[in-house]
Amino acid sequence: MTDYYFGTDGATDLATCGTSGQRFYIGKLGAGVTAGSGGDFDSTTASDVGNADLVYGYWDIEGPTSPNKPAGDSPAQWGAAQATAFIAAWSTSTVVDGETLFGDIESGNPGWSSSNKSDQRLLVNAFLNEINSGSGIVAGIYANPTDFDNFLGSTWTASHEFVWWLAAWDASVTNCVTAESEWTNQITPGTYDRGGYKVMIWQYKGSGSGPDLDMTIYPGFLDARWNPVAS
Amino acid sequence: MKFRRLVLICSLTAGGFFLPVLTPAPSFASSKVPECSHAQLEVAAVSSSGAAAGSVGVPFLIANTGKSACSLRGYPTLSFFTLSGKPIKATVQHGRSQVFAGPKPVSVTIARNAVATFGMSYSDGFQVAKDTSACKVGYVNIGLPSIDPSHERSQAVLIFDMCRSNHQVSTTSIESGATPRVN
Repeated sequence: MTDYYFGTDGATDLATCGTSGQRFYIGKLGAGVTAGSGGDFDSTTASDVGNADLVYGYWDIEGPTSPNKPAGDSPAQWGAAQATAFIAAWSTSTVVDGETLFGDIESGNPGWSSSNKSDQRLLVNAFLNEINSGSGIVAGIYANPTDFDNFLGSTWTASHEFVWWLAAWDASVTNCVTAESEWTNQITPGTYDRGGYKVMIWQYKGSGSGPDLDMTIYPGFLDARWNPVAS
Repeated sequence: MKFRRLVLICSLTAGGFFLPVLTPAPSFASSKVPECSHAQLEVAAVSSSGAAAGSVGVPFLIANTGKSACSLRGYPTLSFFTLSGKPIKATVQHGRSQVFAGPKPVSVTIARNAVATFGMSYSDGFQVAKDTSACKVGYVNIGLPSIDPSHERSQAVLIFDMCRSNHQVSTTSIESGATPRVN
């Protein structure tokens, strides 16, 4: 029997999905090389999760044409610099202890393009490498499949491992009960595996007005860390 | 219907930042000045303020380029179109989003050469079919509260995929200042 664990992210209040309620929370720690949640870290939810090891952080990764990228930086240097800033913010946080650090790649962040895959792959690989080089931490990637495919390629394999946090909402998935059955239908077949890694967390519901709801069948986070699973 | 093509906004993925050349002098809450007319306003969408695990926030600036102060209160009306002018349906919700705090509407006075703001949010994670060309928003028409929308609207370039938001967007009320409040 599969156990399902539910969580939330961003500005979402504590949710009550699942038989054991909310088990983890993932909040924003910064973007580019600048720390700050921009309102997408819910301290109350983070506190109510009850254990700092279950509170994780994400970071908006800016692409290689971001206006914030120093002119002299290569894509790889820009990716590494953002990872370094992320690690620094994570290290100083008194609330976020989860040891999987997620980079958020999406079209709402500056500097990404469907016509610049080569540089973007260099950037993401450098970001992953920098995070994974940190002591006791491992990298994750958040994206929706359209952005992942547009920016990195559907068949691209990352050079460094990552925990794959998928955003793929289906209007028919309205609550945690339907989400459980849809994990089997939508996630298990591997359709959404990307970069050489399996989907480990599924953001199954979200909207501009929230909430953002997530689930996983991988219990590693209970010990402060998801570890990547190759597809 | 009179349209005023006012804006200038960059692609959301380009990260550029084009603003009207106006002072960011504060607007302030008041109701003792005349309501604004479109003739004295210019509206501009600013590039995305960043993403939030699937939600994108776009601040808009409302600039008073008239000769005197005026006031606005309430929510803007938004209608979306492809670049070729075909309407794209959308449900517009009011208030708080994953990105913006969404304070309750108050009367906001915009001094001459000053700006007010509102924030629009949309989500970016719904599963979509491969061809979403009919969902590609090219521009948005903006009606401001207290102004008869059948007469005048502003228009702003705005590029995003409405299918990926499941045809749902949200907007804050008009707020004072140059940046909508975030959560």
